Amino acid sequence: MITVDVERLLSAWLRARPEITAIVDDRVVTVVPNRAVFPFVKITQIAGAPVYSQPLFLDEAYLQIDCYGGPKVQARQLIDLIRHAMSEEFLGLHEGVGVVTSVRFGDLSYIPDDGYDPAVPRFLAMASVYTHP
Amino acid sequence: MRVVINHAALKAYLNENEGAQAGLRGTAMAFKAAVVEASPHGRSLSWPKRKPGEPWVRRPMKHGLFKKNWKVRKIRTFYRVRNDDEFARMIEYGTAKNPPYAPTRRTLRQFNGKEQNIQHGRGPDPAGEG
Repeated sequence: MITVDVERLLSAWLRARPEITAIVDDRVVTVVPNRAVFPFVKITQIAGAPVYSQPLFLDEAYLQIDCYGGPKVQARQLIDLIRHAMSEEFLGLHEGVGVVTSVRFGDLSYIPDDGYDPAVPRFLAMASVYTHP
Repeated sequence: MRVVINHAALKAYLNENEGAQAGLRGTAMAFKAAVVEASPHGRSLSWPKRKPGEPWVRRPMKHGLFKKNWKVRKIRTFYRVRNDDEFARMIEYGTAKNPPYAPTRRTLRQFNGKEQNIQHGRGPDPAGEG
């Protein structure tokens, strides 16, 4: 079985949501382009493990969701919108991709991005997403 | 039969107990070994300063400072595994330009641990220099 690429699924799903595109346009990415335009959302899978190896079916992806402002309040608004949307509507069948069975959120942190001077406001949330094909 | 556990007394006992403290230290050392293993070996893209008279050699400087900077410290009755590299936060959480390597969180998952108040980089340390 081919497991689900959750980074790609979630970014495409968020790009199709009007309340997210109203703030970030289509800038929900998994890799940030060289000349980043703020605000934007970055989704990265930092870990994950299948629940069972045989059959390789139910898979967990441990995601880091970075929401960059704009101002800090916009970054917070973005992360709140995303968490709300994921908890309410992300579960279920995604045609042609797979099924999301569960979403479990971890820490929510405010960690400004020091890669810029001055640091850019960033809210960061962790989420475990369980999927199967 | 109902058993009531006096948590304060149990905690005080474990804080004083040598075996419990040794177990705690062992876990901290094991965590450190695992997190060093999970850490990226940093490599600078800058070039070493050439000494006068020395032929120019195009070799990158290899650092690995992040790996070297993991420390285990005993603070009162618990142990803290901490990285003193000033760029530790960037390596753990990434930036817009760098991926999050997340060595601490990946190691925590291996240990069935829970993220709670992870701190990176230089900052106030209740144990002082200890």
